Amino acid sequence: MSALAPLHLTDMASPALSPDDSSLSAAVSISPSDSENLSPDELELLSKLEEQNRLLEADSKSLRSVSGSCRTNVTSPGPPPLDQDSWELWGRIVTHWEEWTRRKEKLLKELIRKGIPHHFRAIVWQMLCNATDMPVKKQYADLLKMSSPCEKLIRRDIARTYPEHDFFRGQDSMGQEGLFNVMKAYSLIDREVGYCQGSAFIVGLLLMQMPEEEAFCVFVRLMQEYRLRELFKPSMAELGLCIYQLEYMLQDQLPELNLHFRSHCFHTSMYASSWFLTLFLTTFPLSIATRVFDIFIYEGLEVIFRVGMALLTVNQTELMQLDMEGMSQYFQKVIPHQFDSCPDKLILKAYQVKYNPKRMKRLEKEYAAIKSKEMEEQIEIKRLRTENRLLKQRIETLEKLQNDPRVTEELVSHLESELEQSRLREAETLGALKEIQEKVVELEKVSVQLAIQNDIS
Amino acid sequence: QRSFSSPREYRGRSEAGRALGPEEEERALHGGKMSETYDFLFKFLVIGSAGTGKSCLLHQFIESKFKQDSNHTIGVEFGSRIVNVAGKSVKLQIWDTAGQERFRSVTRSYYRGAAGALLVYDIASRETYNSLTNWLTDARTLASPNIIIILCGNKKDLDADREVTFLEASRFAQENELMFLETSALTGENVEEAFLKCARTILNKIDSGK
Repeated sequence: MSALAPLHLTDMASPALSPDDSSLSAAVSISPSDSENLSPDELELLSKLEEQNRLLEADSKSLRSVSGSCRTNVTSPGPPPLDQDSWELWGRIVTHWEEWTRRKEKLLKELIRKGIPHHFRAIVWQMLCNATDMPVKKQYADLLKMSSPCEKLIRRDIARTYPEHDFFRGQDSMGQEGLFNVMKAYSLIDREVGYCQGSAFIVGLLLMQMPEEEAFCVFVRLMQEYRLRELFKPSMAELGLCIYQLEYMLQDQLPELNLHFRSHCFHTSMYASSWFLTLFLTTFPLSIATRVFDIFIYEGLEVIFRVGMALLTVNQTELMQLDMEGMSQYFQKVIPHQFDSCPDKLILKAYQVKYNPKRMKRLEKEYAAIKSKEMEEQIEIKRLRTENRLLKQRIETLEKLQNDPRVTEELVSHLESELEQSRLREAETLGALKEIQEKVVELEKVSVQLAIQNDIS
Repeated sequence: QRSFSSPREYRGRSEAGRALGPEEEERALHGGKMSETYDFLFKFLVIGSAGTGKSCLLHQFIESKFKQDSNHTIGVEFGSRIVNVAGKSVKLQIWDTAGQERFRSVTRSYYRGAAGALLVYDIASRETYNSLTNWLTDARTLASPNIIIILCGNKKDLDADREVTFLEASRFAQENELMFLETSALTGENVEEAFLKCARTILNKIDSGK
């Protein structure tokens, strides 16, 4: 059993209520109500965990002075053999799932943060995202018989997803076939998203743990309920939001590093896009990425922000000394393997990061407002462009007229004859007017004479 | 009006003209590492549809070997190499981008300031050839209208599965004022040449003061 973040059960009981959201910095304590729910075995387990945490924290403090990477005496790459205690404990958790999720949620959360034992991952992941009994599972076989417009695109990426992993090696490997099937099936039930690069790494991880149909169901759940669908939509708008939120955390918590990034035009999206799109599966070796994924499937995208900020915090000093290129190399080469031998430390660091859900929510609104304003401006720009284009066309037509000498002569002579005609018409009209005026005068005379005659008679 | 004497950093029209402070100049000339000196720094893009071999071209250019067993690129990756062009040492800072259509919303923001680009399609996939125009428009509008672009028909080694002829692509290149080469990231054929040709043209342009 591996250790991880210090136990702060009071804080975790209601993260939303913690006053400053600096959540995990308080003392280790267990509230009486928590203890009541736990059996003696579990209490013993808790105290073991606490002891491990204490040691780990002490170790991590000594680590701080060393350059970020793990200088560790824990040398156990790969999953450690499962001891009897853990086996029994997780066995109990799985059999009494309802009870655990309802009454021992905090302890469960803590255990998950310490890593779900390999043998239990398939079932626990499915239960955690509530994918054990999905109607869509029955469709799966039929979906495989259909063809999808995304097939070609999916094919192109299959051999380029975990190519170094034995399970996916070779065109006829189980892994490649299953991956293609699940990606295709998903693209058929969600035409809007279809297939998006990045998602195959998530499905690939699922396939390493469980059969196709089940991986498919879990993936559907993750897409629907873990913001993943929004991340992978054609607009990828959610990615923009995640980057915006992470940038804010960076600015808030590591202002100097943020300034350094800015002065080197090192944009957040350059290093963090893949963190969100593949949940660190393309950053870390699988043994570590899977630990992050354990937490993700219980707690959601928050852990990605936490791990990301932890990486930035741990590496701040080194990054500050590098230029853009140096930093990008550092992100590509150094950071992925820093925690190879001590994944627990990464998780511990992640839970030392301040995370304020309310503020994140506010940032989301802010971002939506910025985006809708941008959209309006885009529409306005489009309108202006069209208008501009039409005006340009008119100018061109007029210029053509102006520059063509034949047209000009024709135009002038045309105008001249028109002028002549209208002058003639004017003369005619004037003549007619004169005649009419004369007639009016005559008639007036006649009418006066008539009036006089009337008076006389 | 641009001057590239000091610091000699050519980043296309859009970013030219900004004077760098002494510290920045130091960085521009040494790339953060004291051992590294060069006369010019060019930002290059590698763009084109998914699965055309962009990352492999970059890897072949930098490591001189074919990149086997690599993940598909998510977002953007970088590489750089200093090359000698016409007696000048030129640092190429190369930005390798994800190819799927929807990633353009992400990668477009990286185009700014690029002096050169490799526009890549797969000679064995007409689809990747057909989308060249979109990539071209993006590069010219977002980087600079004067960006120097070399069209690369990659996977030249897959001649048996060819879907785009050399002639057709070279016509397209001519019509769009692009340089053109067929490359193979697998064998390494023309890979170095593609990057160098692009760099040489940019350097010529600077020398002739255009």
